[in-house]
Amino acid sequence: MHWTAFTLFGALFGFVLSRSRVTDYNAIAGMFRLTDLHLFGVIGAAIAISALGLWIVRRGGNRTVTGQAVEVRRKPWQSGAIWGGLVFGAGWALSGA
Amino acid sequence: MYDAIFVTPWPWWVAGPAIGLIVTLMAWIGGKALGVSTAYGSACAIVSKAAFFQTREYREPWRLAFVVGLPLGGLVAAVLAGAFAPGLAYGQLDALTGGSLATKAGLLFGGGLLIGAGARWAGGCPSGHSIVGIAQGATSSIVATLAFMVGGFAVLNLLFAVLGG
Repeated sequence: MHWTAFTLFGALFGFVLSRSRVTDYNAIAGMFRLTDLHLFGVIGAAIAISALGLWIVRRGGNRTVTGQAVEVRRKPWQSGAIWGGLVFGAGWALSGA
Repeated sequence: MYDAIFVTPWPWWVAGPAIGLIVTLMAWIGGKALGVSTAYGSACAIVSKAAFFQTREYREPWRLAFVVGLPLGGLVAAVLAGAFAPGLAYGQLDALTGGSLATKAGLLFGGGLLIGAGARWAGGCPSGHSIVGIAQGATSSIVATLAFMVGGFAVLNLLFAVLGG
């Protein structure tokens, strides 16, 4: 698949995020204040379906529909996950993005 | 029907599976793991000679193509919802900042810096870590997601406590 075609995936993802209130400051504030649990449901369901979908792709030999290798690898452990994660979370709360 | 798809925000049980489907199609058709924040590193790699940005991860052009699509999709969603109204309104942040544009701009700019630095430090953001990473059972992704939540919970509640709201 040519790299420019990924713009279509990006547009699809942007459309779905927008329809899902993932880009809505009030939804993000509600998640962190525990007054609106919508985003917890979105993230949880997205993880479940992604896990199922990626598992099926792996079972199918980890090949794309055109026979290329699927480059979906587990991110290796590193302590930055903790400190960078806390910093990111702070920014997420401030900007809602 | 048009309303349910294009106007009313989707409930979590439609939104979450739709995101999971996109993750699956990205892997099955494109052969790539969906992720957003690494593309900012790719943008840095164009202008920076720093060794940090010269790894293969940042030199894949598809990431930039992907993030170019994000606002286009958002624009289509807003137009179809009949809600396309460019402006500076920002939900509850407007009440928090008491209508001060400077305070709001400062919070958003500072938040952006923290997001950029934090995502590179953590090795991903809520798309690559919290959704794709956890779906693969990666320890770093589970820990990073807990840290995103703890950091966000602490700062947002502090913000509301200090500024009122």
